[in-house]
Amino acid sequence: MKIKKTRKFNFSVIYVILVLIFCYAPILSLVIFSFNSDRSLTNFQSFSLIWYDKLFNDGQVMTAVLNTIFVAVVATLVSTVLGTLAAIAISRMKKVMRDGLLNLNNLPMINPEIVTAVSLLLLFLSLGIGQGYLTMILAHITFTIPYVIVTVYPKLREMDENMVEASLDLGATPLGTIWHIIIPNIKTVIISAASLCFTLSFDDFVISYFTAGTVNNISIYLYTLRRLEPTINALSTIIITGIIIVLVLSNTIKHKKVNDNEDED
Amino acid sequence: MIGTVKKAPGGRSPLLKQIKAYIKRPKTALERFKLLGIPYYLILLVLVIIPMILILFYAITTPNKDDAILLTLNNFIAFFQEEGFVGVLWDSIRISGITTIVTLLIAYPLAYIICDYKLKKQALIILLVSAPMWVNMLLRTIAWKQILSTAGPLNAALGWLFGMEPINFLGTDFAVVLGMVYIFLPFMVIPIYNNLSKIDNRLIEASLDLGASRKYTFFKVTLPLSLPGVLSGVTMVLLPSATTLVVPRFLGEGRYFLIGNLIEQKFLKSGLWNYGAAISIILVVVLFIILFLTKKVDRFHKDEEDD
Amino acid sequence: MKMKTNISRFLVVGLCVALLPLVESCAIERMMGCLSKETLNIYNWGEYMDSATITSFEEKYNVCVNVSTFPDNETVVTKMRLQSFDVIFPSEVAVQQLVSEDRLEELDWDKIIITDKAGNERHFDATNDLIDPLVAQLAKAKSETGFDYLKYAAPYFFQNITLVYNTKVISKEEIEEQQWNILRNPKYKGAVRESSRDAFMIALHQLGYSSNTTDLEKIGEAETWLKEQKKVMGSQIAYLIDEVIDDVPAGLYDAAMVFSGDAFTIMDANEDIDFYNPSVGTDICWDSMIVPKNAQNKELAYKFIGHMLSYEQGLLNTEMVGYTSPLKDVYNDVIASLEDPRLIGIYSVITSETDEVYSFDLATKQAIESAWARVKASS
Repeated sequence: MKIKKTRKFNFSVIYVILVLIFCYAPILSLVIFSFNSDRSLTNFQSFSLIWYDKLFNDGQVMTAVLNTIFVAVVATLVSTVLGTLAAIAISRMKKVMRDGLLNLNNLPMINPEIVTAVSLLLLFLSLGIGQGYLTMILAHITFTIPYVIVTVYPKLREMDENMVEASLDLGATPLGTIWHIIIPNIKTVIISAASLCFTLSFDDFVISYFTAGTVNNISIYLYTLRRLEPTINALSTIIITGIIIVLVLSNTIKHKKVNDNEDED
Repeated sequence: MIGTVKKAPGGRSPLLKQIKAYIKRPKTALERFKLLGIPYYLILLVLVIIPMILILFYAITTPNKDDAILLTLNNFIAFFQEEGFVGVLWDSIRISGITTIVTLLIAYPLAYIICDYKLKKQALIILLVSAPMWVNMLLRTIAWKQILSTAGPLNAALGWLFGMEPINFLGTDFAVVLGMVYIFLPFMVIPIYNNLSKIDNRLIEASLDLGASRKYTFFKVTLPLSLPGVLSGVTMVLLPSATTLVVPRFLGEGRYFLIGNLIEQKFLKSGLWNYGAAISIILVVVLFIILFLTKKVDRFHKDEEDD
Repeated sequence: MKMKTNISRFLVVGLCVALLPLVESCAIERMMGCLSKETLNIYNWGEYMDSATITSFEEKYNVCVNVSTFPDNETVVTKMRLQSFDVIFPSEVAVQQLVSEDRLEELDWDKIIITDKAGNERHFDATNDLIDPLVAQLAKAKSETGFDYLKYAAPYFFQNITLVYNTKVISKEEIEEQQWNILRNPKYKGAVRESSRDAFMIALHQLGYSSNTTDLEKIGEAETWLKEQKKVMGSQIAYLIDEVIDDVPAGLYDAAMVFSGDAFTIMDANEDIDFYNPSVGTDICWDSMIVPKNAQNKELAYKFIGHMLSYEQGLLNTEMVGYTSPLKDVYNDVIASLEDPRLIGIYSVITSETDEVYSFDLATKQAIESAWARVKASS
């Protein structure tokens, strides 16, 4: 949808800039204080890299970071694969079952995180499963897989049915069809779904807090920290730097394919 | 394929054989596809449905002295009777409502404005708005705590610009809503933007060509067409913000005791799981009712497949 | 909620690039090394040990130590059921609860070897190696309730709950007159600990009752006291946990109830802050090392306890955390090294007749928790 530019052009730009300032003010504060020589998060003393040093060398922080990444990667892989397969399965169903499953799928998304967390806690306790990596990964899969399905499914519907039928008619197995026909077509959406999963898992607090037992992830580590210190600021700065790299890359690399529609989600 | 079971001296074997044959039979492609979903169905069953049933079970039972289990509605009744608890639920909904409205008011104009830009710029701004999501939520909330505190930069700026005494922003509705709006903004911007960007330009042009004013076009054409996106965004903000733990804890100076904190207390501190489960059920029911009502607002509700 | 596809691809690449330095980090090398060694799992409060004590233990015995942290005692009680730890550092009231639930291993003091100040390796002698106030409390507990802490727990830090205040804003006379009520005085910005037991303690003491009362009526009165506090103070009261340690020196609060160890850090950071132990009474407590029954490596656990009870480690820990060490030699040396009378005063943990130690009673605990939820929910 495009609207013609009106005389309010200048105000809109200011508005956008204001919103972006709002979005980045705390980030800026985080980055600045990651270089603080003091542990304070309000008084900047002088420039120093001690927190970066601590980030890489303090066992507890690094363990939390690695745990977070590990759980996020595993959960993302499992969720994306199983979710995509499930979306494919659902797209072949009759309306009644399909709608039913899709609604059911929405449950973990709509359910308040704390209720999901608590329900999983009760499950693990009742089954007597010791809380640790396994329970945390299972919990993360549980709350990310619906997002995969919700992301992938619409694109599946858009895809040309005839291609699948043609492939099957020509003698390909269903698995072969999936691998060679369906997946290439929805590749972009799958990657979208995967990065969504990763973000959700990486940043998760509530569900991890209730199901992780003693495995610390970054959020739990922060929540149980007695006094705040800029170590995790250092981590965040690194992540933000990564994102800036992405911005620069995406703005300098020209899109080759004309069909590579940027409106695609 | 399973025929009648013959009671032969071998007992179950004919049935078992028939079941095995059923599982091993050559399947149609359609059936094969559906089988792909089995891991997911398992996950749904074990990790979603059963836990919910467990919660329900805990909510309607109560541990007895002799470890016997009594079916009871006491947990639910206790919630409504206990002083202040309904107030906590109301507070949570109130704050979440304000948060949702403020987020909507900020997100919608933003999405609308950037639809005008070149595609690449649109993508850039969307990325910029959603990039902070990669930074840990607790960290961003704590950062706001530093900014809003009496010793922080906001008060410093106010003092320098207007000569004001430092105000304590923390522990106010303002701080809590601000924190929540900040966290949930991308969740509102992105669905609205997706929706707005897909609205067929020709409809707008047609409306203008037919003589309608820009304002009229917006209210009668654009806005209604963008409602699914708005609804999507509202859903993604309303529910989580009512139940969040982090923002009230860090920005509320401990004075904000919302429903999430209450459930946390019952489960992790008091060990009153039955009570906690009942409160969770009440929360889910209330939120689903609110969600149902907001869905009614959307008259042009399309199929979910077009999301 | 969807993201731009090419961009999200780059995002993942960018993240990988940014995290590449991780591969080089020492911590990864350490983790690799740990796969082949014996591991000890510790569960402690956050930032409650000097990491040098851990490293020296790892080097001495060529083992790996995994440290997990918890924010409060309730978490310990809940999570230790599901997870196996070798050494846990609960507070004394949690020790009581765990013993009543039969979760703790009786400590085999023969296996605990310490290195004392003189460098001798010997067994721990509670009467002579612990500071007198703690020895007195332990004896009192044993004689009054028959509960012998040392059977299960090795003391780690000793503290009380105290009132810190900004001397520039509140005068000594005012504090002595109002006692815990200073936290109900809307003139001053106060901070109460976000803990049901501690909040009820100050209410009960201010009302003149024992903090260990099982009388539900008195608990009800305390509940009213706390609700009034919330109402009267409005935005002048905050319920915090450890943020106080940074917020009080920064001047955000005029008065706060804190643990003496935190008060030490606070006063060290700001010379205008002083402390006061209300004469109506406060709480005395200590954290100790225990070995749970489901510990996997009990032999190593005993070695660790011996290590932490040694002079050198005790000194490192108390210097880093600021809490009072119950080890006599360490305690005396620290006090000798301090000059500021406030710091000497707080580190000494001066106790009075009206001070009490929490005793564990399940029914009362639940009553107080429920009452606290009502207080927090009130307006």
